[in-house]
Amino acid sequence: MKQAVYGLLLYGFLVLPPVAALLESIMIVHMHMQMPLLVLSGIFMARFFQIHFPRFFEKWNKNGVPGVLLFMVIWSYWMIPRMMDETLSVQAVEVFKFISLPFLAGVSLRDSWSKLGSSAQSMVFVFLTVVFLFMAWIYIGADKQICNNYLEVEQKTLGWGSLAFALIMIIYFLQLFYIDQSEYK
Amino acid sequence: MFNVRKLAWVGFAFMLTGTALVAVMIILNEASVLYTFYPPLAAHPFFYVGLVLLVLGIWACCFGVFINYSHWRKAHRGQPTPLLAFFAMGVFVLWFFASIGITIEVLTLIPWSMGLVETTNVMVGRTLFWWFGHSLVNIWYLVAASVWYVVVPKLIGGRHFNEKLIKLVVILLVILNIPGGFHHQIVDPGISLSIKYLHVFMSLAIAVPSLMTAFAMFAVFERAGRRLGGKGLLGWLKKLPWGDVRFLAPMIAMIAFIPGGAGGIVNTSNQLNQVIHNTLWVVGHFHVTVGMSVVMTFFGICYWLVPYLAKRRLTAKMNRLGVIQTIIWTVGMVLMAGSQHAAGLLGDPRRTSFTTYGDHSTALSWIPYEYVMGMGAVLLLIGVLIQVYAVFHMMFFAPKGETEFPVAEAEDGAAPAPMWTERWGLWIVLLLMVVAMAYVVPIMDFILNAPPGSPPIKTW
Amino acid sequence: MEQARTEPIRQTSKKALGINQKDAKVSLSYLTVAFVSLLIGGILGLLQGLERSGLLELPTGVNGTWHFITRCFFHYFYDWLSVCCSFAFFRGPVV
Repeated sequence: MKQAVYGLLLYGFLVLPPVAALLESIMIVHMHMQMPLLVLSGIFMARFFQIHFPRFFEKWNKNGVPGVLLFMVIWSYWMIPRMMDETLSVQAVEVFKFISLPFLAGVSLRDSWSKLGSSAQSMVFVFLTVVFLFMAWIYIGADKQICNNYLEVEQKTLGWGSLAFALIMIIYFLQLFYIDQSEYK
Repeated sequence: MFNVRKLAWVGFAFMLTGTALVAVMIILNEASVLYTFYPPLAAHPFFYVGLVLLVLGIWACCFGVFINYSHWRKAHRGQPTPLLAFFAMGVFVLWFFASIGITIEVLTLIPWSMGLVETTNVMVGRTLFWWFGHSLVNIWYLVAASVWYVVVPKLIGGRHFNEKLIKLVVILLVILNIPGGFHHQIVDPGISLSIKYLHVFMSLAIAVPSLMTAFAMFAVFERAGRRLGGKGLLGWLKKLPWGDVRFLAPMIAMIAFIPGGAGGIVNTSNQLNQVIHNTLWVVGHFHVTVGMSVVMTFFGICYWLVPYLAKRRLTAKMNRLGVIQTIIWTVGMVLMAGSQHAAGLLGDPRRTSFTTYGDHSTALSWIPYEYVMGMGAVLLLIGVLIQVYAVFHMMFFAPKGETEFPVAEAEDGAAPAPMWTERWGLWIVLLLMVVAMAYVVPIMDFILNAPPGSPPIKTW
Repeated sequence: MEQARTEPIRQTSKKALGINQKDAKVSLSYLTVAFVSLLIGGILGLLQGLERSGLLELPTGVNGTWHFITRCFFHYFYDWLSVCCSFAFFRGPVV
């Protein structure tokens, strides 16, 4: 339960207007720091929902697949440049971001993770890596400004940042193959 | 299969050659580019080659330790690594990943200084330098911290703190370290204010494991002192072995880290940094953190490590000399660092020769502090002479015998650290993640919005 | 159970007493370079400190170089010693 409180504190911090404004002022920080932090706050807060609504998760997310699919849909949705742009222009979209990332993506990811087998967990990693690589391709390759609110140079930076994240994920994968993980359980 | 000891010798040879080459180039006045050797100041190409050799030597040691670690893992399945080895692993992981930044920088500077490439991107060079520069001092600090956590408790007859917390501190220091260097660029142009602001958090993050260390260490002292019969609120302090140089030196080092850490927070904070940037305050700061916290711990280590390695004994006479040396060093450093902090606040710049700026009244007000600094320097040289004498005496002339390698044990019944702490693959991935978060924005900005590059410049 | 839990740590302290003599030689070599650097750095450091205080005037031309070489040797001291110590700490308890 302590975790849920920490999650709520993190969420409260991220919602504060000056914090949100600062994080959203830089494109890569918006996508690669604020959004993952929102998911992380949801992952922590998930404990609260798991304890208070066990039947709900039992009924709707028995084998973990619906939850992880929801996570993937929400995450992919926020990777679309136009959506990120709209959060800055349309208040309702901004509100949706602050609800969907923690409560739909974060909570469902936490609930699904332990229910998934290791191959399904690997698939989540592969999904994220592919998304990052795809984003790197789009954002580095685009020769026009694709967001109204962000400059082209920021867009390229985001592309290179995505490439860096994808490479790091690949490194993580490689070490999983070479190091026996059973020892660390 | 690699022989770990051979790798250490290879590292020694590389480092020695590199050290000599760098020193020779500086003495020949071909490389007056400071420790912070970033462009546009250009040194002789051999200076950079020397640095490459130095880094290669360190990498040889890194790989030696990594190989050794994996051997140990295979031979001791399901056991957490001994604490000192865990620290060493952290130190060398940090060495390796921190030195990647500077390696890239140096490899671009070599063709530039040779004239093969006309210009270089100054801001990228600076950023890559500080990727390494601040982690380097934290590497020394991590070595010192390993002694505080593992050796000092044994010397005072106590037990070490909770193993899980200690390993967590190492992991945090390794993961969070590299972006901390960014606060050295807090007044650099070309970096937006919001990025600098976000980086303040990254720098301050290192304060968290440092504060954990402070609380853990004082808990260990109090527990040991009370076990020895210390009464009252502070009675346990008196029970600590103040007359033992192996304890006294690292203890003063730890105490010095309190003002040192506080000063570090000043340096990291944007507005406060404006006041002290490039003044003698900064020089005073690293005399406290490095000159006291790190160096005095290293001095303390010598009094058991050197006799232990040389199969000799620490005599009571040498211990007394060590205590005297520690006191001289402490007084010298307090005078030196204290006056530098004060002069810095009054605006005295660093990296200059003595000058009164045409007898300007502000500059004249620095002079008394500078005299105190000079007095400190005299005491410190006396300290150096005693220390060097002590080390070589213990290496070659002290009476033969066995010396203990002091390693504290856990409290009775304390659980060993959980095995997840050993997931170095994951810690390295997280370290890279933090580095990517910190450095992609400024470096891409410097490259994509690059001003004209700078040719090599020699001002002397 | 009790015994099993504390065993790895006990082992640490016992094994630490047995550093290989050949490893000791490597560590001592690193230590030697570190303390020679400290001696050079210390002497130059005093000259620099006195110069900066206005108590001593170094010949022009040499002046700047002193500063650089001082810092250089102090860095050698820290770097060599930290590599040496970590190495000895690792080899001491682990081998």
